[in-house]
Amino acid sequence: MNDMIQEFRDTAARLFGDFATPAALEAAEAGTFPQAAWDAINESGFGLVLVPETSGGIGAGLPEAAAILLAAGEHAVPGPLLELVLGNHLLALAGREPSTAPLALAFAEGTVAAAQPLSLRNVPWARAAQQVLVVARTAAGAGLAVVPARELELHAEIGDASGEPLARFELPTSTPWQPLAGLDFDACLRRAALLRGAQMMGAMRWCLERTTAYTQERKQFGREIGKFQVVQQMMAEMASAVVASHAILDAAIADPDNPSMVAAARSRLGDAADIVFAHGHQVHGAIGFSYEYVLHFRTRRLMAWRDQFGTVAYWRRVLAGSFTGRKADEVWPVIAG
Amino acid sequence: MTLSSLHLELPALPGELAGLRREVRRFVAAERAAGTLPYPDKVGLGFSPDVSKRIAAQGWIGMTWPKKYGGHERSALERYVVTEELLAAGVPVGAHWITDRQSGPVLLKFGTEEQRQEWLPKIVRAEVAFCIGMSEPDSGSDLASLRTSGTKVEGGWRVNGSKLWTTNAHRVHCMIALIRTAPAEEKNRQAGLTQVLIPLDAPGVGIRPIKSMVGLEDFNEVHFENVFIPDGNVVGAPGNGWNQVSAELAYERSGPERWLSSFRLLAELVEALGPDPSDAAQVEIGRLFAQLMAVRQISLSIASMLEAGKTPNLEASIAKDIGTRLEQEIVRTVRNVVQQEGLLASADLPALRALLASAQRYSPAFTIRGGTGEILRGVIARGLGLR
Repeated sequence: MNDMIQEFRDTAARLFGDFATPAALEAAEAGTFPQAAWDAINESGFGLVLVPETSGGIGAGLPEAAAILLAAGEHAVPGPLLELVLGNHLLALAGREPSTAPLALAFAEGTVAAAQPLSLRNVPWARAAQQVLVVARTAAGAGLAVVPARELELHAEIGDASGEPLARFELPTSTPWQPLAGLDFDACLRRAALLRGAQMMGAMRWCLERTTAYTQERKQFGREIGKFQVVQQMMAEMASAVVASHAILDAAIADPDNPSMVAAARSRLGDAADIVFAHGHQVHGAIGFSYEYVLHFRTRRLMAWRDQFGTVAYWRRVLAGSFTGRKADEVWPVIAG
Repeated sequence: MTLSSLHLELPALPGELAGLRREVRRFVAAERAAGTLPYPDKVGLGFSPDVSKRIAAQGWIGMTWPKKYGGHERSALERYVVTEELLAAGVPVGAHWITDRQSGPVLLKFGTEEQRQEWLPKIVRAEVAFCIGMSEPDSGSDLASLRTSGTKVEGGWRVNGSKLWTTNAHRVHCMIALIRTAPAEEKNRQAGLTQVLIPLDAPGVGIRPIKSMVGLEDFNEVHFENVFIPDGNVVGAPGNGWNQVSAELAYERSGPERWLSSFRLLAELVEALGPDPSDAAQVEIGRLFAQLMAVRQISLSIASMLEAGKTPNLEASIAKDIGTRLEQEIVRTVRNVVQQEGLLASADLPALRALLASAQRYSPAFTIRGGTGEILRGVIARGLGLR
């Protein structure tokens, strides 16, 4: 990790550590928008990390943005931070002003044809957003629709494990599509997937550290539970899953236009999230199942995030597609170049 | 820093290595075209002294060693690329693999100048090969409990005891054995162990091949009855054996042989599924390749760390544990996909069929050889501060 990325991560971690308190997390889940956190984020300028300097942004790259999202995942920061970071990048590409107000971000299935209403489902934070951004495949590549949230009829969806508010809505046929300079639909989706992946990694890192510490605090049968081999084996599996998925995530963030690498990262992250979820809770026992203990603020989100911006199954099919139809001897060069 | 915050650096794979990769692929293609390299239909490192000699002629054995010992003074990453390419192509590298990976480096790092001059040039030409004498009948995972003994005598040592599961002992020239030359200390069971070179044609050495469940005789029981070895055959300092063995662990545990063992099987499945695989098959294939690519990133990072002179033993334990479990997972999943898609019901697919049978017989060894998964996870737990 270079110094600049480390600095972003440290600064973000300090900021998020201050406001992502258990009380703030609970309030956000109860439906109160985390305004104080949001103001602090805007003050930090994190929302402008991917906006070019010529448009008044920070002009940093995906690794820096990912470092911020990783810290956010670690501290379970509530609110649509990813949407702000990537949304402002997309707004800049479409030649529009960056936002400080919350944004929602959705990716449409299929290719958008004129005069066809578009149904979007399971869009996080749409009700809290001032503008809703929809990315779609268009004849020209990728199109961005920017719609004021108040013009949309938003319907609450049944919530997922994360507890973050979800909505569905229809995009009117009259919605104009603006071209995105330099990014096609899949490139946008890959960036969203990687930033969500970084957030997952932050949550997993936190779970690994907390669970490791817990095994050294909690005593049963007269000794710390971390002294039991069966617990040690579970912790080793958890650590390996985190280290391995972090390695492939880093490789993908460094190479975001390599579809196989990004797909591999999201598939591997999905597997790791399952292990962290299962082992993290099993090792914690009953206390981890209580609302009061903050483990679940990360683990529940992991279960939702693993399938956002492309489900795990979707990314596995994308990766498989890089190999489909090849002879046995042609398989290895796909991996090694 | 404990392991819970362990974060591997992105590996640095310089672009110029792509040329070397192509070179190895051209070599494999030419050998196959000439009929001197069999198309892989078995899992496991095939043993072919001829193939090893031709690989040696390319300069791909002892790649990183000094030129004065016949080495090629290339980087650890260049060596990594060559090993990866040879394994991915299923080339039978068993006749030099362990010698190149472990025995040569041990001699280079701890051996005497005489030992280096005597052995390394021959290793580089694939004229001699070594085996590693570690496990014993009563010492497997608990290696420090080993009992093969070396007793000091005039001008050398008398070795008595037995080694077990010694790969290739019946067809190589020399063993580097870990033996006990002094009693263990009360607080340090690993004290008193010494590495020695034992020529396998020395009087008193008895070798009995053991047939494995694969149906092949790859490993052996080796007995030593009053075997005399001269002082000049001690490798490193007497009593320093444990440290020396530990120093090689990162090489032994992080290489591509720890995650590519069943790769050919997966590659044959891709071919057998053809241009239009089912959704379910795609999801399974994608999952396995993602796991494989992630282990490869770890393996590459470790290669970069080795190149930088570090000893990433903990990282290597992670690589081997998840790599070898993946090797087994590949076998199970390929079998399930083959059945689910009815692949073998309608076609011969001889390579897939043969590899699947071979892999199922071989796969239990993946997570046992070179350190069991349970021991590796113990090492990882220690890295987390739990032991």
